[in-house]
Amino acid sequence: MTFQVYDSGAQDFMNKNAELEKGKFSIRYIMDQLAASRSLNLSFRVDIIPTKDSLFISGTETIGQILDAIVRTSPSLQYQINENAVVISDAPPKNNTTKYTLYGNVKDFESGESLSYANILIWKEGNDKQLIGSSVSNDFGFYSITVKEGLYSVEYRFLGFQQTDTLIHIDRNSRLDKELIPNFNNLEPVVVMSDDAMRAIVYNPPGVRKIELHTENEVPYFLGEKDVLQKAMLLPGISNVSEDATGVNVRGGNVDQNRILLDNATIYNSSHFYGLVSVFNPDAVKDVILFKSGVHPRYGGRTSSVFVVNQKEGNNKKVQAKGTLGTTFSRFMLEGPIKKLNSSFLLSARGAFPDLEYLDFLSSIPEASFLDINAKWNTTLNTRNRIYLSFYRGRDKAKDIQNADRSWGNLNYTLRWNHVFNKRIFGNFSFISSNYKYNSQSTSGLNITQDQSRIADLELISDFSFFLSPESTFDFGFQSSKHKFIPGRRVLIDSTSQVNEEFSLQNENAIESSVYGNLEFKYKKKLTVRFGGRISNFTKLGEGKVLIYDSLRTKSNDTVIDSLTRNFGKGEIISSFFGLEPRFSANLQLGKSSTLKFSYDRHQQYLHLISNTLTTVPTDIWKMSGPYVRPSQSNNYTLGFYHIPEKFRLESHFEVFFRETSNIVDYKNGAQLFLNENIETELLQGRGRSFGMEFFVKSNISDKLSGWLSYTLSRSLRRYQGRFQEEVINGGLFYPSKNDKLHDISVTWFYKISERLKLSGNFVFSTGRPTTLPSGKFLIDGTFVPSFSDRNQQSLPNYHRLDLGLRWLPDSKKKSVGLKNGTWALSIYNVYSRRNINDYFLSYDEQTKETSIQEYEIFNTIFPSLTYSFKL
Amino acid sequence: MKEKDLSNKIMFRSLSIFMIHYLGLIGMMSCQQFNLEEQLTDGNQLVVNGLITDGDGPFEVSITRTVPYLSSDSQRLVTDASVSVIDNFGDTIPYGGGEGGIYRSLRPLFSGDVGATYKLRIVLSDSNIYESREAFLRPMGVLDELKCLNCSDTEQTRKELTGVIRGLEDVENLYRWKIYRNKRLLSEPEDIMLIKPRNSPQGLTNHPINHRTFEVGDTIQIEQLSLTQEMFDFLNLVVDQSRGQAGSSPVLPANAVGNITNLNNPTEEVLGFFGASSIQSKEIVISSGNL
Repeated sequence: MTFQVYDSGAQDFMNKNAELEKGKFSIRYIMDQLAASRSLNLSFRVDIIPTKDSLFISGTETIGQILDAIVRTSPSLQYQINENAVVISDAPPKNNTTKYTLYGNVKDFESGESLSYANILIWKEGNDKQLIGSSVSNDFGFYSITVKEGLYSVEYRFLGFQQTDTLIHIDRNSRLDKELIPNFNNLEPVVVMSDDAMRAIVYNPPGVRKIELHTENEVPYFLGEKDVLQKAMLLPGISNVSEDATGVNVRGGNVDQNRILLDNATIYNSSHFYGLVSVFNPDAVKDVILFKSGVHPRYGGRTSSVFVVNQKEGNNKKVQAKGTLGTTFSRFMLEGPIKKLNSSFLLSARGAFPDLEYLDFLSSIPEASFLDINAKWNTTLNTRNRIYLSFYRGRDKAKDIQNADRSWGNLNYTLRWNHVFNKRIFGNFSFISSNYKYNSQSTSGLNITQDQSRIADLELISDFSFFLSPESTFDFGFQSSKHKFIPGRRVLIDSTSQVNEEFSLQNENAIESSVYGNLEFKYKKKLTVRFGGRISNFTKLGEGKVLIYDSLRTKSNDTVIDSLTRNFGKGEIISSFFGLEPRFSANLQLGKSSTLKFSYDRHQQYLHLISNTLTTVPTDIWKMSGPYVRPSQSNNYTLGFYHIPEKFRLESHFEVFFRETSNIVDYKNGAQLFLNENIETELLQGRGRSFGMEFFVKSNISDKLSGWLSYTLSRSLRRYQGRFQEEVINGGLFYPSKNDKLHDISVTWFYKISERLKLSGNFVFSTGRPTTLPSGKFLIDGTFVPSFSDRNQQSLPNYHRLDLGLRWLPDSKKKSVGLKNGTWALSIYNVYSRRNINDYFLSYDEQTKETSIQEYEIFNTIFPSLTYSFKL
Repeated sequence: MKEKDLSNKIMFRSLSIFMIHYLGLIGMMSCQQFNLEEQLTDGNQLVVNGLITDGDGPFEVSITRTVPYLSSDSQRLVTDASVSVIDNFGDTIPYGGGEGGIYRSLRPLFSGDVGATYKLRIVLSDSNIYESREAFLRPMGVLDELKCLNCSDTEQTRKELTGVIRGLEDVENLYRWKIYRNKRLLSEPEDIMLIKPRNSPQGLTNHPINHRTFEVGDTIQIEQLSLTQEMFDFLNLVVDQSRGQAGSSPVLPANAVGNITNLNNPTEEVLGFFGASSIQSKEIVISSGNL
């Protein structure tokens, strides 16, 4: 605090009204006014009064309040009081070590939305301007920096927004909410060398990347629909097994090893149209953070990666509407304030046209449609408390090739409460409901039956961030989920048969809980270290029946020892597992342009996807860890070198990774998984091993041309060497998993033909993945039966594809709002009509009564689409 | 600073040149003609099929080898094997022949006994010895009758059949039906009919032949065989694998490995099964009127 001396008799005139007029005046003017007052004898040297400092006077202040405000605004001054005289003089140099905290929220000026992962840099003002520290706003835009008292310049940076600098004298704990203005002139598709992008790259652990949505329009997408997962697949290490496969494979992992969160709610099926489009409506998505490694201990439950998708909060300043009309999809979004600057809403809907004749060539989805609804509401109760309520509902409908009517979808609710405990402790409490279900109605004999499956999770999460200093932050919290899986039941809809085909597989219930902690600190601004971990527990609960199998033979229906079957009552513990998951990462800056990064994470996974098809489909079910299915555990190591030369408008990185996973689930040869009552008899658990290197370079080659290149060289292997012959695959040796792709390359580029016309393109190439095909055949009772060599010993042809996109933007001189002033986007998928084979399968010919190897192609032709986007 | 810029520039250019060449190389490698057939190298696996019943002999064992999947051949015959069956009393029943890969029991009037076990032994010309696990000849319930479901409906030219089974009490009844139309075995995968009758209170089970219809004048014979769980599982596997992988719930690829082992090399996968069954048969001539 500024040095002040009072004597006891001075209080009288200090409490008198200063009688100054209302308005904003310079300090010098105010002091002249006070000096002219009869009630105060004020003396000062004119030359020490700062000329630029000013104060806002409301007219009601006392003399004491005015003097305090003067010395607070101009810290180089102090005042002393002697009876009725006040002397203003130079403040002596201070050596004050008292620390104060600057905290607040970073928001979008246009919409009032909080900006997560914004960079806040604090510089010490003076002759030698010095960077004191930095902070990154959390998921809710909250930041906190604790520094010594002094005069600072605070920089707020966020990609796509104008940098904002604020000069502030910190002499007390202060809240400073900052709104950043979108940088409309900086909407180039690739902004490589912005400082904030660079800082994020330098700051993040290896394998962590924010998927930049503001450039999304530029990439040509399938059916012209902006898509988070399609975009992610243009990054190294992310691929899928087939163009129509649900979900993605990260670093050779299985689809179920990715945790996908939408406002913290788990998305069990992330795709529509059997995998062609992700469930994330781009209009409703604020940002996406992808963790391939270096996963924050807050996240767990999967052994491969985490996708954190945050929904927009809704504009709290003005009502806005956005829409897109497309040849296949349309969407509309409405957002606006409920109470200006205080509460807002967002409502968004997206759907595919019900009559998809346009997609007739896709034999796998003869009839398909989907609908998404996203909604969010938030309100600021006061400066310390904010509440969010978000909702997502997605629903797909399709007929499968056997003419069964299928429908499936996610249903998620999230209620969140942000609470600022004090200037350094931020808390977030979430109550989440995640649901996924599917129905398949078909005719079976004389009966019409419906197969149903459902997942229902309830989750409570408490997250805390403790901002210890500009150099260190401690995050901690706990999470608890109640899982309920209804894996399958068949109900009779209509019957003319006496045979009752109704049955139900055993439901599964469990409680999954975890506590976590993560300490992050910076050492001499060059080294950032994060270490922490997560302790998790998974307890499977009754009601349920556990079969006991003959331990001398492989588990099968024949080896059940009926007399030992155990029945567990409701809530009774069937099995319980603990997991210790240490996490560590370090970034070391090497000079100005390079960073070396390392991370080690361990993950425990208690839920496993049971897939009965070559690629994952919506009807696959999930299985809990229990007496016969142990939790999977992975150890992930990543070493990365990031290079961002300042002058070359270039970002590049090179990462090597190694992942060893235990108890990874696969299936016995010939496994029959559909509606199998004793699914454990068909499961195997073994080892997974993925390793490889990833290379990424992103560049503004010229003012008109920019783009990036991703390259992954990797292997993904599996090994199953069980105790019994049936539990050994490929002789118990490592063999390639179906996610194994040696080379995976994508090149994306953007070319600005003119201010209004932009061309973009993707080229993707990957080596064909492994598959299992019959090598021989033989006859039994006149029937041809295929015989197979080892699993995954054949491979598909190489995959490659070129997509192009053309965007026609509204005239920038005109207002870009209005139905007529929209953007046209033409996307051409598979430009040169490549007939990519996504898989081979054995097809049974009803005429010849034999099987034959059939190629499974999704797109065998060029595929154009047109969309028109507008704002209202 | 200028030196640093220069070194960055050189590094960037070097990296670019390296990546262009490297990716070009991958591109060239990828242009190689893809040949699926080259990947399907057949393992020339041994296939053995045999059955002993409590019916009349002689009984057959077929020995063949797999042929390449894309080949137009149907099987590769093994004609020079030495084959015998040993029962649970140690009595050896010799098999002879071998033409067409088929070996027949040589003992006249030999038939299997319910409750007995039988083991197949094969010696190939390369001195490899193969043996099956012991096959148990299970008893069987009664195939009560065959009924035509819609023979009275003169407008329906396709006639549907059902069989009535009276299962055994207190044991799991597992059966296979072999269907003969006009003395010819129907051999499509669906014709390997595997049945787990669930008895009604009267002890009877109706089991329709859903996948086939018949014509007036057809003579239909159903041969019912009792199965062990192991044989039932094996035949299930054969049916699943021979019907491909299409559909929403396909089975995963697997070899139809049964109960036969190479004693010289136990890791060798031998395809096929040697089993023992009780047998019964019923016949019906389809006419418009018989119900």
